Amino acid sequence: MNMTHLFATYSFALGLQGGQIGQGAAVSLFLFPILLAVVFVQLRLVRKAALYE
Amino acid sequence: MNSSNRKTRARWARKIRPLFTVYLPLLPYVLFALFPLYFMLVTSLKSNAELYDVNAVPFWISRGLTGDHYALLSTDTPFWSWFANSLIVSVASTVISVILGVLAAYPLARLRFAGSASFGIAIFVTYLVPPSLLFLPLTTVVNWLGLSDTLWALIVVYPTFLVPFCTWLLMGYFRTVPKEIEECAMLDGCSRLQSMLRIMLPAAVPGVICAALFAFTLSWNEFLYSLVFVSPAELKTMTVGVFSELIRGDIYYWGALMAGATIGSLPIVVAYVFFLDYYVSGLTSGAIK
Repeated sequence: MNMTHLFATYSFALGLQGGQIGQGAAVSLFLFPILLAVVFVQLRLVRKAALYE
Repeated sequence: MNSSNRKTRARWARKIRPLFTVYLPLLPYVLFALFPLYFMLVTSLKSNAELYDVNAVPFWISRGLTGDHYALLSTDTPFWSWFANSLIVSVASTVISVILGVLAAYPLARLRFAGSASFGIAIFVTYLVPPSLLFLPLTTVVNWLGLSDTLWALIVVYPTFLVPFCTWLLMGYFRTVPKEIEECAMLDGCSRLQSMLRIMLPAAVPGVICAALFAFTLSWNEFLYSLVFVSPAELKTMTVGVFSELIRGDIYYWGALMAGATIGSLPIVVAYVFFLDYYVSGLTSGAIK
């Protein structure tokens, strides 16, 4: 059924097309912890690069 | 005779060599990059009979060119207003974001104040938060501002990802401009603001153009926000308009879709061609040699 959705498309379908903004927001916020890890790694790389400037 | 012969052969070798070391190895990548554009163009100029014929070769046109798909775009859909909407929104949000980006990037690159480093990091982090996470909260904001279903919604929302992007890019560029020329200007009596506007900006023109070019491309290609915030057909931007009006149910108007995509990619091509010389020449001529 909804197997091929991405987070973005699923939260769009739930939140705006389905009218359940809360559930849609919950789905998109699920990305946040993953994102946080990515941001952490990137920030470390950027700082390391800045040191060599 | 012999030595001149050797000389011509050496010259010939010098000419032919880049063919094997540069152009031939590059060729597959160029073909790979250009193929979608080629396919788009070919499909948009093909008659429907050939397009839906399973036995026809899809890579070229064998039964004559047709402009029907372009005509369908103009007559059956508000294509040109989509085009105008895209243009208005992209230009407006690019101008806003580049101005804000310059104003934000200059102090972050040059001044040392409490928290300047954390401001830079905060901007970097906002840039990394994807639109797919932000569009639902932004819907509430746009409704609260009373802007939903207007082009203003997009002009206000696009800078949320363009400003951090421009700031980050310009910060890097401003740092490469030597401090010394600004110090000179200040010794001659420039204020901070004057030094930014009259010394830093002219030296950083290639960076600013680069930021504007990327910002324009990003907002021209934007899909999600445009899909969410604007629903009347004649107010849509091109990306969303072509997608939502030319796929009716499970019928795909492939020719018209491709025609729309072809026209849609033209402004970007024009912008890059127009600014490329400026951009490259600016990059190579430094402020201090």
